[in-house]
Amino acid sequence: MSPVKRRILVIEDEKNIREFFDDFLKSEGHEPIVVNCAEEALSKSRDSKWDLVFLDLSLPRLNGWDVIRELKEIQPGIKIVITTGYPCDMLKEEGERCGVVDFLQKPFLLDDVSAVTSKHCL
Amino acid sequence: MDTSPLILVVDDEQEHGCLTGEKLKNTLNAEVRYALTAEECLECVGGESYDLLLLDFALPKMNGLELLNRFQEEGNNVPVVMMTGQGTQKIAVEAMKFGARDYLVKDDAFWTVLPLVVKRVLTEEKARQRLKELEAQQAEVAQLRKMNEIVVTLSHNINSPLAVILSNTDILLRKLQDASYREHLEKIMSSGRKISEIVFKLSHLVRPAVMPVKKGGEAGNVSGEEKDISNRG
Repeated sequence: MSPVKRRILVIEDEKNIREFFDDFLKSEGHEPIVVNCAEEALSKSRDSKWDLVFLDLSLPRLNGWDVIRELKEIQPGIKIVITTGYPCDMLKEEGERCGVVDFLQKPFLLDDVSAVTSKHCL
Repeated sequence: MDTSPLILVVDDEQEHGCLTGEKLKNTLNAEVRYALTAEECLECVGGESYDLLLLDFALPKMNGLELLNRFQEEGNNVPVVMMTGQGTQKIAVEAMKFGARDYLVKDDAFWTVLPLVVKRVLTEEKARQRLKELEAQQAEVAQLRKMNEIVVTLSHNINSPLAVILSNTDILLRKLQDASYREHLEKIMSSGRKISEIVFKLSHLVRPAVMPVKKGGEAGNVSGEEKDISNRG
């Protein structure tokens, strides 16, 4: 259990992965806000501040990179971790250009999620 | 020419053929072989790969046009320059229709024009071959790109449901203390990891140039409907 409760936005269109994040981050003592689309994420981000964002790059309708840019416009300095089933190394260059803080390669285990969360929510 | 072109001179007038060959050796540094008849020519062409054939029309038994026709039928694309006698330009035109690259009239200008025409045809053929190679390379690149996209999409489509299997198995492993349950879960976890390793290796066999994430979401999920991978077959 993490000593500090963090507000973590999870943007993931796959129901089971979304539910996993919700359950697991709560069990770790955090406050996850899970949404299934970029539009809802952007809307909520206008009213709330996040300590960390887990973003699935392959979202319906909107391009994941555009979503990152918009999130950064709304909340400069926002920490975004890309979660993806695509090979992460092919996304690194564009990710760094967009200022994402990390990548979480699917499939991941609980320790992977914990480690990324702890690393960026000191 | 970078290397000596290999030219076959097919002429039943042996002396004219030899002089032609000598001219090509002296002016184009060509390597020259000779044939006196169509049969000899076919034998030579069957045994070696020539850069150019200098073919006399008036050969005994099988004339130059018939020989050209034979090459076409056999799919032999060796560049041919037809030699014709004076006043036989009609034959030359026919030869061009049958696929000859050019023709030479055996007149006073023959010895001057010969190296120029042969050199041009050889250069054009070289350019043609280069273009062919480039087209083949382009087709290969396109094929590889297509394969990359398939592999990358495949890895995404496997990794996402695998994330659900492994993360949930991990949760159960943390919650369940019963050794008999844990043994089964460990097997699921171990097999899932193996699949993950295979997908990783596969996705790194090819180096994808671009990620196939399109504007408006990934292919196959453009409707915006919520995905529930638990129901997938």
